[in-house]
Parts: sequence; structure tokens; C-alpha cells
Amino acid sequence: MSDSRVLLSIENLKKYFPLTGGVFRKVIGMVHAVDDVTLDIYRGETIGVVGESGCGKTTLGRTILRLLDATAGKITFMGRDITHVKGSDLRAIRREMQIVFQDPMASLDPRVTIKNSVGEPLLINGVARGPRMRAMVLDLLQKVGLTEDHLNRFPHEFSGGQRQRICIARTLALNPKFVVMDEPTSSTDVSVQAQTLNLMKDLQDEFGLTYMFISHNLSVVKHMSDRLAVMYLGKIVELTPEDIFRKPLHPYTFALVSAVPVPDPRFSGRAVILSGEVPSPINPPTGCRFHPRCIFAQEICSSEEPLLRDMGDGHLVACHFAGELDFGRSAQMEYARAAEAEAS
Amino acid sequence: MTVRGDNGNDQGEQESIVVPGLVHRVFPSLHIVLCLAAISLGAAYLVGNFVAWFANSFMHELGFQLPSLLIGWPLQALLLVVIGYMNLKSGRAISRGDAWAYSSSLYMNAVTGVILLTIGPLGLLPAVGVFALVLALFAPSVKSYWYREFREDMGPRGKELRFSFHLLRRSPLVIVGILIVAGYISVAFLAPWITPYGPEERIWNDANLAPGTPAGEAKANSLILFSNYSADISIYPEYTRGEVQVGPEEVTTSLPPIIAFSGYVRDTGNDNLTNVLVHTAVYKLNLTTFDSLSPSLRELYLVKSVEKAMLSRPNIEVNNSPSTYVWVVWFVASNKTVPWIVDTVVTLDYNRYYPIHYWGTDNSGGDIYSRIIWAAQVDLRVSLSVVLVALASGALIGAASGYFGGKLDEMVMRITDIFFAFPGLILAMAIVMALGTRNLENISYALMITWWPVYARVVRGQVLSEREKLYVEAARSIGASDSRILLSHIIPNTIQPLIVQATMDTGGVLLTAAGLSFIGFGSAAGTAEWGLMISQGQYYLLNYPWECMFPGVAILMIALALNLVGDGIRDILDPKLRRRG
Amino acid sequence: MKLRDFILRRVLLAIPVIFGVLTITWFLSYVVGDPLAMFITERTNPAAIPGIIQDHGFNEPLVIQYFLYLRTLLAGDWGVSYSTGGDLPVLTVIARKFPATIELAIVAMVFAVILGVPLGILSATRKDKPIDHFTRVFSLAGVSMPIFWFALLLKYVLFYQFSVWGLPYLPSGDRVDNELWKTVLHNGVGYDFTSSITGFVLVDSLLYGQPILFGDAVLHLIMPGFCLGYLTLAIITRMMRSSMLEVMKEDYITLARSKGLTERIVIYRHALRNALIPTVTVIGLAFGGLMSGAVLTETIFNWPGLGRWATQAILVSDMAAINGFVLLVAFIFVSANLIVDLTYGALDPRIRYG
Ligand SMILES: Nc1ncnc2c1ncn2[C@@H]1O[C@H](COP(=O)(O)OP(=O)(O)O)[C@@H](O)[C@H]1O
Ligand code: SF4
Ligand SMILES: [Mg+2]
Repeated sequence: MSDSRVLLSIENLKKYFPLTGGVFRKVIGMVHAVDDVTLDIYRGETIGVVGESGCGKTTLGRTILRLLDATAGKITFMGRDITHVKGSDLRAIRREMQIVFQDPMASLDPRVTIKNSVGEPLLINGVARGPRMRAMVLDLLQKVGLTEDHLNRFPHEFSGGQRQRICIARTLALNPKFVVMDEPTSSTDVSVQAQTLNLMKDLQDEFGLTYMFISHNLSVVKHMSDRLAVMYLGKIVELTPEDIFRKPLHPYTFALVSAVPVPDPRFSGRAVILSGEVPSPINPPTGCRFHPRCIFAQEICSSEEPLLRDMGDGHLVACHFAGELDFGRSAQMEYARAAEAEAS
Repeated sequence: MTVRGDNGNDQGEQESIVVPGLVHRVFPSLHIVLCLAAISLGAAYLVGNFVAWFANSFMHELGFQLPSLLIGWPLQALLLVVIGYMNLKSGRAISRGDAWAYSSSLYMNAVTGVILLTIGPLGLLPAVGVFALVLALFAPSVKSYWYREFREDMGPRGKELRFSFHLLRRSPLVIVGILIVAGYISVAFLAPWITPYGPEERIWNDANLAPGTPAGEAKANSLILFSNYSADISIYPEYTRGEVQVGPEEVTTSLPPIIAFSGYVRDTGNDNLTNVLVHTAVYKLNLTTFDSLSPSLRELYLVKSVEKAMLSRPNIEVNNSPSTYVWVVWFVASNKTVPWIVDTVVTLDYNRYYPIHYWGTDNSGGDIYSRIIWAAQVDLRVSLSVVLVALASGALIGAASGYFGGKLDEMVMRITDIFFAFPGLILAMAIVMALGTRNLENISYALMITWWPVYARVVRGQVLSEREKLYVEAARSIGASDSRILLSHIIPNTIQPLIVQATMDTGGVLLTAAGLSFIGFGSAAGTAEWGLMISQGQYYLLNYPWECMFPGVAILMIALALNLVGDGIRDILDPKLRRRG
Repeated sequence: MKLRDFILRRVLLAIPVIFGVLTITWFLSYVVGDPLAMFITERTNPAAIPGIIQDHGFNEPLVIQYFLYLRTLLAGDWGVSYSTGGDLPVLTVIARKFPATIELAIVAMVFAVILGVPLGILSATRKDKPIDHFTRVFSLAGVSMPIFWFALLLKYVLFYQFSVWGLPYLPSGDRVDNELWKTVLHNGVGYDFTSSITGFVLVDSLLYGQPILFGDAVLHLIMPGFCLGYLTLAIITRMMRSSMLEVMKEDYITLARSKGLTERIVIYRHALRNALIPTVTVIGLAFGGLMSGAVLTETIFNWPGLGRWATQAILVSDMAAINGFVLLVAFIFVSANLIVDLTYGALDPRIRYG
């Protein structure tokens, strides 16, 4: 990991949750929430992570931040192995890495005022207390578009979007380098979504942040990220710096892309409807995890696991037949092409 | 130090506050000395208590005696050590120049002072010292900080509180409940002043009177004119006499005042007591005239005289106008061989009246109204102490079990399972039975043992669910330590269900205690206690139903009120119902 | 987790609880209390005392005593109760008095369920109406009611005052009117529960083919049954009300409403079934309340069951009787809870067995 552009690198990260059951509550299985993920995150970029819910996105984010202990693998942050740091070292690391949780209501203590909630990281880490803390908190709140009036209120007095912004302010209090945004817009309505996304982009520029942007909504992720990772059942199946709508190489990605509605009714194309249930992460399918639902599946797919292969320009795909498959054209592709043609 | 108005930008202004130099140099060291003193005082008390306990239980025969100064106050001692330790931290912060720590040390010093005050005479001096320190050094220098912080922090809390009151006002049943509970508590405290009779006072002639009947015997205020206990009669006859002025203010009721004598002769040997006569008399005279008159002339002014061997209680009526009386007591002993011990009391009973037995009397002439009110003291004390002890121990065990989890949790849960396998009344029954003696203390102990698992379960469940909440993880993600998470996020969020549970349980414990008392586990017959009163009244149910009806209404009302309040505050505190706009 | 595993786990979990119960009663009566009192009565021959001490191992170390205690209990020797007239073994007394208590408890439970469930529904469907307020106060009064006092009150009004006013009144106590039974059965004894067929008066009277006796038994059950059931009634009403309100907020109820189903069908077809499930659990817990209540109620209504036996035993410090009673009640309570747990598990498909 000598590459100085790399802020955080994950190697073969695994996170299994034990599943207890039976009469004596013995461990009867493992939930393979994150299974062998390798990923480099570069300074200043936004890496998007997309996938159906339950595929392990949140677990990935939490494990990276050491909120969960990894089952196996290695996490390197700024050249330092942080997989097993503990105590005050861990707390020091946490200042640098923050997370905005999925549910903004639940991530604020209902009995603590906004001032104290946002100021808590400052207080704990001995950055500021009293009037200085107040001033810093106010500054942060103003940056996310709240005012002094909001300082001494309780979380329940705010709307979902406002709470999300309060959470963002709190994560920024310690001036972190790396922020995991876990579905920051999933609990707000569309009009607020755009505002929040723009705010996050502005903040990224202002603070020089690196984002990991998690969402199950492909268009939102695409709008935000420089590179995009598609997850399926605990694994990354495609990682691309390119426009995913134009060049999906993995059948699963294509299915996701083709399901995104197009704003213009003139464009239509082939859509792949994913059939069947998402298999259980307790007993993931052998070989390619997508094979029970994949329309291109061959015999090899159920026996041999496809590895991530570079298809050029850092476009990684985990499919035996990557690049050889003809998906046909989805409406999204057509639309993207037309938009591009119009622009040029 | 400049203080501007509130409207400007606070930032610069607050930064500019400077702690006066002298304070800054002197205070931290003084403060740290104080903390160390508090810790060592507390530790000394704790050790003293332990030694005393040890000495009392094991070294009794050796005649070992500990200085009494060191015994007692275990709670205060513990608090002193804990607060002293916490305060030491803020003392260090101050000496490092963290001006903001002044406010927290101010609070803690004030608390230390209050605790010292409760230690009695020994704590008075240090407490005065602490308060002087707080006032002289602290308050002026930190006022501008902590007041601002206080106001800003209390602002939203005050708003929530006002909102709670607003919700409260909209639920009349809760208000009724609160009023009843407050009424019971104040009545229990005021019992000596609002009851005509004591808890165990009985007028045997007034048994089984219906509600509203006036008493057969008058009550009065008493003025002790003369009392002499354990006097020996050596010479006979021996006189004691005195003068009393009776004015119209002593005659506010229609009954005339009386002067009552009571002379009781105890014999230290085996002599026949009939050898002693106690003579008592009252004359309408003043003392000088009395002394100047001859015995035969005095007879003219005699109001009444009584003589009796052992006890004389002459009810001597006195006229209704302001005048002077002389009372005389003398003993005549014949054939005196051993010392006689004589207890003599002379009282003036004035403002006599016949109290009305509002709620009737019981079969032994006790006034039910008075007894019910006195019993409020007893029953409330039992249920409150049970709930408090059970709450404290159960909450501690439950919090530990929930937070640490694992083996400890499994063990605690199995133990509570076992306790839950018994219905409360029946386990308490078995415990009292095993303890041997039947009294209210043992009932309390039994109920404490029976009730703690309830709180252990409530707190554990709450801690477990809070522990999983996202905001706890959020706190962890910003680097909060375990103790901070427990103290400032988990515990505040578990307190409210505890309050609700405790309120409702106070009623439940009261019912169970009364039930135990009813089936014969309570105090000795005659004690003023609701369950026991019902138990004794049940035999007269058909003819004198009030004897068990009124105590039952008393229990029902307080239990109902406590349940209403518990129910109501649950709704008021419930964040789901509370949310607005 | 499968239902079978769930059941197995619950049953296994009950075993340590039973042992805990045994340990606690042992601790209370052997370590804290005086164990000899259980086996020695005033009528015991003093010469036999050393033998008793030897037999029960009271001179052994505590640990051994504990195992001896378990052994004697399991062998069916629960001591001798001398408060019953004639020193009878505790288990015999229990066997004789058990039906009376269970009959009373069942009647109380029936009262509680047939009154509590409709009251709860009524209260929930007419939320904040006068009937709701009334029901809430009524059920609050139930949990706040000193049951022994309530029994006296009922007795005073329904027996004494009604008879004074010349109204038909309820009997003041006892299981049956024995004079009536004597005349009807011509046996000179009346109802003799030691030699009766089932021990349940309601059943026995029907087995004798005497509706008049059945009526008599019912009359005798009304007051104690209602009195004992009031607390449970209150709890069931509250539970029913709150779970009904909870269910009515669910989406599928809104959906059912929007489909145009009548309110009646929505409530009775859809809401009620789901709201009943939590109420079932309450019944298990209520059993403990019934056993506590039986001690007080039976005493007042002169009901020849376990509760009254226990109170009489308390008055004369009959340790063996009290110990036996406490153990028995704990067993009943544990099994009632177990059964309810299992029923609940079987009823509610959503439950995560664990
Ligand atoms: N604490 C946990 N214990 C057991 N299983 C978990 C836990 N957290 C998540 N899982 C499981 O791991 C899988 C991935 O969950 P998650 O990371 O939350 O998915 P996503 O965020 O993509 O929706 C899910 O199957 C979930 O059930
Ligand atoms: S490896 Fe096979 S099953 Fe998996 S995505 Fe590629 S074609 Fe489909
Ligand atoms: Mg997620």
C-alpha cells in the first residue's frame, strides 16, 4: 500500500454474524454479511456502494469504521493497520473516520439537545467545552443550514431532513478525513434529497472529505460518486469508475440499471426483471452467488467462483463471461447515449 | 470582565472572560485540599462503620467500644468519597487552567456541603467552611459562566417540563390522583395535629360507636402544674402545694376546666400499700391567703378534696371566671418501714370538649378516624421503603446484568425466574414465616426480597434495548467511553419507565402488605395499620360495618390514586404520544 | 428456530426454576426457619424426637440435609400438617383441598374472561367516550382493590343487606348449603368432599343428577368467584383495550376498512383475533394473582380450600402445611406460565422463538 493516493484500503474483509438456535442456543450457522471484500478508497473521492437491502452495505461500512470487529481481513487507514487497534488508539482513529447512520431519528439521543449532541464529539475528545463548544457547534449547524434558534431544541422537534443535517454536522465536528454516508437520503422525501445531496457535495469540497456513499438507489449513488461498487450477497460484483448506465458488465448490474426508470418516455429498451428471492446469506449459493437468478448462468457458474477481473480502466467485474455477454439495450443506456449526443 | 447584552454575537464576548488572578492561583489548591479532606473523612467513616459492625458482632464479650463519633452515616460517607473523587478531577482541570470546570466544581462543592450538614454536629464545621468557600471565592468569579450555561441548558428542559404540565392539565384523572397522594402524605405528616386521639389511644366506654357519635369522655389540653417522679416519702404528712391562675382563655368550650391529680405509690418492699394515703384538694384562694389561714378556715374555700390510697384523679370543677386556685397534695403514711416511691403529677386540663367520632369507634373504643390517619404513616412508610430498597437494589443488579451481559446476565435472569415462580404474597408469606417474628419490619423485609426482581427485569430490559439503539452506536463512533455511554445515554433513558413502575408498585406493595397484615402477619393487635384494622373489624362486620369499611376505603383510595398517577405519567412521558408538530 | 425446539427449550428452562423453588423453600424453612417444627407437633412423643432428628438428618451438614430434603420431597413425604384436625400428611391434605381451590380459580377465571374481553373491546372501540372512562376507572379499581376488603364488602351488601331488605340474597360462605344436601341426598352427611366423586361440587351435583344442588353450588360460587376474579378481570380488560387499540392502528385494519367492510366485521373478524393473542399471556400471570387472592378470599368466604388451610396453618405456625402450600403454588404457577408460553408460541406465527 505504498500508493499515497490511497486513504483507506480493505483486503479480504469478512464479517460473519453467528446465528444461534436450537434448544441450547448453540451457534448453528453464520450470516455471511460481508464476504471477502477488497477495495481501495482514494483521497478525496466518493465511492458509491449500491445493492439490494440486506446485501451487507451497512455491515461493510460499520466494519471499516471498527464499529464491528472484522471476522477476517485487514483494514489499512492512512498507511496504518487498524484492524485490531484498541482503547485510546481506536478512539483517536475514530476521530478521523465518521459515519452518518441510516436512520437519523434513531441516531440522536432523544433526551439531549442539539447543541449537546453535536458538541459531544468536541467534549469527549477535549477539543472544546462551554462557550467555545457552543460557538463551534453553531458554526457547524450554520454550515449545514440550521440557525442559532435550533441550538437548544430536542431531536423530535425537527423534520427528517433537518435531523439528517444535524447528524452530518455532528460527524463533521471532529474534522474527519473519511465519512461513511449510510443511505443518508432513504428516510427523506425527494425534494429534500436533492438538497441534502448538494449539501454533502459542498461539504466535501469545503472539508476535503472522502466519502463512502451507501444507497440502494442506483441513480442517487451514480449522481454522487466517482467510482461505484455493486454489492450482491456480501460480495462486490462490479467496481467501475465509468458511467454505469452506459456500460454495465455484470448481469446483476444490468438488472439494476434496467430497472431504473427513465425520465423521458420516448426511450424504451430491454429490462431484466430479477426473478426469485434473494438467497439467504446464511447459506450463500456456491460458485457465483448470482447464479440462481442469472439468466446467463452456465454450468461453471454454480461450481466455480468468478474473481474480480480488470476489464480495462480499472473496471472490475466478477463474472465468468464478463464482456462476452450481450445484454441488449436498456432504456437507461439509450437515454444516456442520447443525452451525451445532445451535449456534444 | 465585560458583559454585553444578549443580542450580539456571544462568541467573542464569552472568550474574553478572564478569571481573576488571585482566585485562579488560590482556588485550585484549596479545592483539591477540600476534595482530599472529603475523601479521607468519608473513608474514615466507612472504616469506622465496618469496624463497629465487626466489633458489635464478634467482639461483644471483650467489651470493645468504638468512639461513637465514628459510627453511623454510611451513606454520607460513601457519597463523600464518590463526590470527592469526582470533584478531584475538576480540581485538576481548574489547575490546568480550564476555567469552565469552575461551574462543575461549584455544583459539587455545594453538594458536599449539604452532605456534610446531614452528618450532624461533626459535619457542621466543615460544611460551614465549604459554603464560605463557595460563596466567597466561587460564586462571583464563575457566575457569568455557569449562569449562562445553566440558563441555556435549562431553557429547553423547562420547555419540556411546561409541556408536561400542559399534558397533565388535560388529564383530570391524573390530577385527582396526584391530589389524593399529596393529601395522604400531608395527612400522614400532620397526624399529630389533626387527630383528636393517638394511634393506640382507646376509650373503653366508647366501643362500637356509630360514625358521628360524640365521645363519652372529654379531651382537653393539659398544663402540667407539678410533677415529681420517684420521690421517697420520709416524713409524714408531707405537703406539696401550688397556685394556678385560670382565665377565660382556658374556657373556650362549654366544659369547665379541671385540675387533675395523679399520685402513684410504689412500694419498694413487701409492705401493704394501704398504709399510704394520698390526699388531694383544691381551694379557691391565692397562695398567700392560703398560707395565712388556719386549716379550719381553709375548709370554707375548699372546692373539692379526694383521698385515695394509690391513685387519685379528682375531677374538680372550677368556675368559669378568671380566678386563682391553690392545689395541695399530701401523703399520710402510717407504719412506714421501707421507702415508698411516689410519682405525682398535677395538671390543669382546660378547653375540654367532647370530640366527635366521625367514622365511629372500633370494638375496643379506638377512634377509627384517628387510627386511619395514624396508620397512613405506618402503611406509607412500609410501602415506600419497600419500593425504594427494591428499586435501588433491583436497578443496580438489572443494570449490571443488562450492560455486561453474558454469564452474569444469564445467572441473574435465572434467579429472577425463580422469584417470579412465586406469587408475591405467597413468597412474602413464606419469608415472614421463616423469619419467625410477625411484625411490620419483617413484612417489609419479605416484600423487599420479593420485589427486587421486578426492577431488575425492568432495568435490564431497558438497558438492553437502549444498548442496541443507534444513538449509542453513534456515541461510540465519536469515541465515547463505556462509562460515558452508560451514564449519559443509557441511564437517563431508563429512569422514566422506572418511575412509572415504582409509582404503581407503591400501590401494589401497600395492598400486599395490608393483605399480609390481614391474614395475621402484621404487628401486634391494636397497632394502627389498615390491614390489621380490617382484620379486626371483620368480626363485627354485620353490626358495625364501619369498623372495616373505612380502613378499606383508605387503602382503595391511595392504591387507586397511585395507579392513576402511574398510568398518567406513563402516557405523559411516552415519547410516542408526546411528539408534537 | 422450530416450534419443537422452542417447546423443548421452554420445558428445559422450567427445570432449573423448579429446583430454584425447591432450594428457596428449603433455605427458608431449614436454614432460616426451624425445620423441626415441620415434623414435631405438640402430640409427638418426646421420646421419638431424637429418632425424627436422626431420620431427617437434622444433625448432618447443610449440604447433605439439602439432598435429604430433596429426597424426602420426591419420595412424597412433605411432612405432617397438624392444623387440620388429626395429623394428616401434607400431600393428603393437598389432595383433599385442591379441587375446592381449583374450582374457585376456574370460576374466577371464567368471570374475568367473559366480562373482561367484551369490556376491553367496548372500551377500545369507544375510545374517550363515557363508557371508555368508566371501564378504565373500573379496571383501575380492580388492580387497586384490597381483595380481602372487597370480599367483606360484597358479603355485607349481597348477603346481609339484601337479607335485611328482604331481597333474594347470596350465601355468605361455604361451598354448599349442607342441610340442603343432607335432605336431598338422604345420606346424613351432606357434601363430603373426602369421598366425593370428583371433588368439584359443580360436577358432583350434576353426577348425582340433582339440578337443585347444582344451583346451590352455583349460588355459593358467585360471590367468592367474582371477588377473586376481579383483579384478573381488571388486568384482562386493560390488556384487551390496549392491544385492541394497537391492532386497530395496523395497516391491515386500515386496508380492511378501506375495502368497505363494515366496522363490525373489521373489529370481530380482523382486529379481535390478533388482539386476543397478548391477552392470553396475561392469563398465565393472572394465575399467580389468583393463588394469592385465594388465600384471602377463601378465608373470608369460609371456603374449604388450600388458601384457608394456609391461613389457619399460619395462625398456629404449622410449618409443614405452609411449606407444602408454597411449593404447590409455585409448581402450579410455573406450569401455568409454561402452558401459556407454549400456547402463545403456537398461536402467534410472528413470534421469534427465543
Ligand atoms: N448484528 C447482526 N446480527 C446478525 N445479523 C446481522 C446483523 N447485522 C446485520 N445482519 C445481517 O447481515 C446482512 C447484511 O445486513 P446489512 O449490512 O444491514 O445490509 P444492508 O445495509 O445492505 O441493507 C443481513 O442479512 C442482516 O440480516
Ligand atoms: S458468473 Fe455466471 S452466474 Fe455469475 S453473473 Fe456471470 S454469468 Fe451470471
Ligand atoms: Mg443498511
